[in-house]
Amino acid sequence: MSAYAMTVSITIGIYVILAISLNIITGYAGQISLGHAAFFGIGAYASGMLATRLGAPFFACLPFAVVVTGAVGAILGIPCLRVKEDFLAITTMGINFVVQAIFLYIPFFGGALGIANIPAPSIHGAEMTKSAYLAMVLLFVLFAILVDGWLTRSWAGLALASIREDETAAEMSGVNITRFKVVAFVLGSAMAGLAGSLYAHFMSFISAADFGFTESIVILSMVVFGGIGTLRGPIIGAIILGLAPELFRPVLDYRTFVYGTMLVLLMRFQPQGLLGLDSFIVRNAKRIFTRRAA
Amino acid sequence: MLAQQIVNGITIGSIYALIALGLTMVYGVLKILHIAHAGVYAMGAYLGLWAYCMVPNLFVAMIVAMTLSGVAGTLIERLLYKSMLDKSRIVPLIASIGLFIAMEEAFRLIAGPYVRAFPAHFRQKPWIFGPVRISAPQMLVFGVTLALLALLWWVLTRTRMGKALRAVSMDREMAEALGVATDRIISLSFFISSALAGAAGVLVGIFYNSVYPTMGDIPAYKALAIIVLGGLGSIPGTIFGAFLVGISETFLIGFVNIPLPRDALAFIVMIAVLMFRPYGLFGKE
Amino acid sequence: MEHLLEIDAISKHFGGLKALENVSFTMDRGEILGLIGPNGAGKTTLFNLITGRYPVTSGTIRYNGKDLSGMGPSQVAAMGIGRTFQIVRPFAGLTVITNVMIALGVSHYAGFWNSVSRYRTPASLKAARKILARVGIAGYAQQKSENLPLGLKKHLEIARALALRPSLILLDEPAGGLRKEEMDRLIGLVREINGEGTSVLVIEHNMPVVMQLCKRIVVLDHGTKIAEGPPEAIRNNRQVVEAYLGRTGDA
Ligand SMILES: Nc1ncnc2c1ncn2[C@@H]1O[C@H](COP(=O)(O)OP(=O)(O)OP(=O)(O)O)[C@@H](O)[C@H]1O
Ligand SMILES: [Mg+2]
Repeated sequence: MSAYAMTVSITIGIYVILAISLNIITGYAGQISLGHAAFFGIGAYASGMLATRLGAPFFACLPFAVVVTGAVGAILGIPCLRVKEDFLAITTMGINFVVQAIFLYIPFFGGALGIANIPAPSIHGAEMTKSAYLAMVLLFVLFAILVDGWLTRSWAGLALASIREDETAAEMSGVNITRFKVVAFVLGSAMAGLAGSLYAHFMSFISAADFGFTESIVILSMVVFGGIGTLRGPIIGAIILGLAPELFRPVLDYRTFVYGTMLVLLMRFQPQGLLGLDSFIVRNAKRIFTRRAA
Repeated sequence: MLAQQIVNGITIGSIYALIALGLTMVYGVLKILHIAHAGVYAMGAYLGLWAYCMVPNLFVAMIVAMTLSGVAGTLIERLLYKSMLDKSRIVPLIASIGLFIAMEEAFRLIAGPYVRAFPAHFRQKPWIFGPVRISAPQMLVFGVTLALLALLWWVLTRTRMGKALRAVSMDREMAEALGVATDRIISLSFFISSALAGAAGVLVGIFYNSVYPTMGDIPAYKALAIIVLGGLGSIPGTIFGAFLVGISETFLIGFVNIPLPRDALAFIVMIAVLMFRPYGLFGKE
Repeated sequence: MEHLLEIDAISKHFGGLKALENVSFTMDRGEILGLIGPNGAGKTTLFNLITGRYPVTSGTIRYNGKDLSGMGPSQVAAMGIGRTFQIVRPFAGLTVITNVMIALGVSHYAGFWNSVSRYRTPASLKAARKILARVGIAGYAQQKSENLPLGLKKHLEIARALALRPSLILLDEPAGGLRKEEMDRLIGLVREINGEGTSVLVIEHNMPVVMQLCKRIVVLDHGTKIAEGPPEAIRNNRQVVEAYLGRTGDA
């Protein structure tokens, strides 16, 4: 595998984790978030700052980032509990702008210079190679998939689904909607923090610009593109849209245009996403398989 | 100094109002967050510039920009949103964001990535009223905004069409049951709001003497913050929110040197308000 | 022995609107109590107060002697009060059996280990199927609930309420919008459930249905209680007749 292919794979792996984490909040619990990149950023900053300021090793920074981001997710989840639907969507977007502004304007966070020289992880004094890093990222992807699979099979996952479908009916069925929304926010944010930590130590340099609203939209499009509310959807979405910039390299100048147009066309003609429930592909695959079985 | 800040704040606020009003009207009838509205706004600026280069007359440029923007908005509604009303609300949202991205890129590919000046000429000397100086472009912004707001108010309150529009915005199904041609009214509201956005684009292009592909970015987010602050779908709330944000921006930047950028401020105000009034200042549950 | 439900001088104001004003009545264990009144009388609002959806403006609600004030809807549900909605609201995108499972989980949503355990266990599936069979919709278990006809959606809502193992269920216009046969099935079902020991508080506009089901009726009009008693007495009560006729006269 070339170094270039490895870099692309690592980036896509990080996006897969991000898409899975956002899908917990938006796909399973139905709480539209337009600010997920804020949590990605908080994880990256927490990890990068602990490493550069206090010289902590990567394997201490990563759990630290997860805990900090989860905690911030709980705190920022509180204002999010007050508002619903479109008000929530715009509130999360606002949170993204404010968090980004804090990174950019408060000297403690390095201001416009960001955080530089974040060390790559090392094992027994030897710096991790790119292929080892890729293997590690894939392990964390697997971990995210396991967490997701566990969640959707648990009573907690059922509670999230009920909130997505109808909050009032959920409450009347005994679901404490406040508690489970917080569960979704914390779990989703903590997982985004994990992705942030992986990103920071891979890039070695991070700045506020990496975690803006546009990045939130990129993550959300991955979830929706692949098929929101399923596990396969965000994974496929992150892989396809993560590869898109590479695939469109020959038409470099048009690639953002193509990206936007693709989103519009998909929502117009296949709003469930590529592999969502009831999508064209899934419907036909089901038909073919049931025919074989018969 | 103080009076001057207020005047500057009102100028900014009136531009915000023009953009946000359209957004709130569209939200009222369709319950859609129409992010691509800011794309229509930038398109209006380009159309105005193009028209002005053909016929150097501001009035003509304005009419051309407003009409074509209106048509563009109506097409967006007909071709895109119309089929998405029964889908989950994230579907039109993502479509709208995708469209906004594609529009900005289209402007860049067609007109080039650089900032274009708006070659309108004005008298150099500002008007002076006591302590307040008002430049000619500022006067233009005021004049046109006031005229458009007055026109909008007249249409909404005094015409059958406007009454029907407000009825649809209050309760679409009920209006339909009462015999309102909701389809036409919805398209109409897209036409009006997109025309307003187009006008705002031209005004901003003239006021800052610059037209560029991503000029819709900041208005897109800020107009969303404003309409949410005002209580999604509420017209008085939106006007109030627009001036509140416009004035507090000029004040806080002018006087208190807060360490946050002006563009995050609208969101801080919005989040603070939502904590006490989760449905916005003028919103109802 | 104390009453199952005590509504004690309840008022609920929405801004200037007095949706309920000083309403009191009690309900005994095992009873089917009817709650009637013209449109806008405050019936649904009373359900929303009992279930903790809105806080009361004043007054107290006691259930099994315990004050319900300050409790959220999920706590009230966990105490064993189930309800259905005037305009049905099943979890539309989920299957019928999943709808019931959600309410069966009421005992699992509290502790951490409880809520992270698997929900599809043989025991829970069996319990859910049993409830579906109880209300006669076992055949639809794997259907998406939005595809059920209205009558069966109402059965599903009852199933969901029963999954809370309630001692009281609140039915908001169960017969509303149903055809005659559907209505008869539903009345039969409510009777059976009541026969198995669950108390029922039912809002209903259809007088024959109320008269068949209830031994006692409470009548609300414009937020106040105007009458209470057995069906025959209610039918002949002048104030009640006027409340309804006055209403028809308006329309
Ligand atoms: N959340 C609310 N906010 C404001 N007013 C409300 C609210 N809920 C109910 N009301 C008002 O309270 C009054 C009583 O309404 P309620 O729904 O309890 O009537 P009802 O007896 O159930 O009528 P119906 O037979 O039509 O269902 C009505 O005037 C209604 O508009
Ligand atoms: Mg009612």
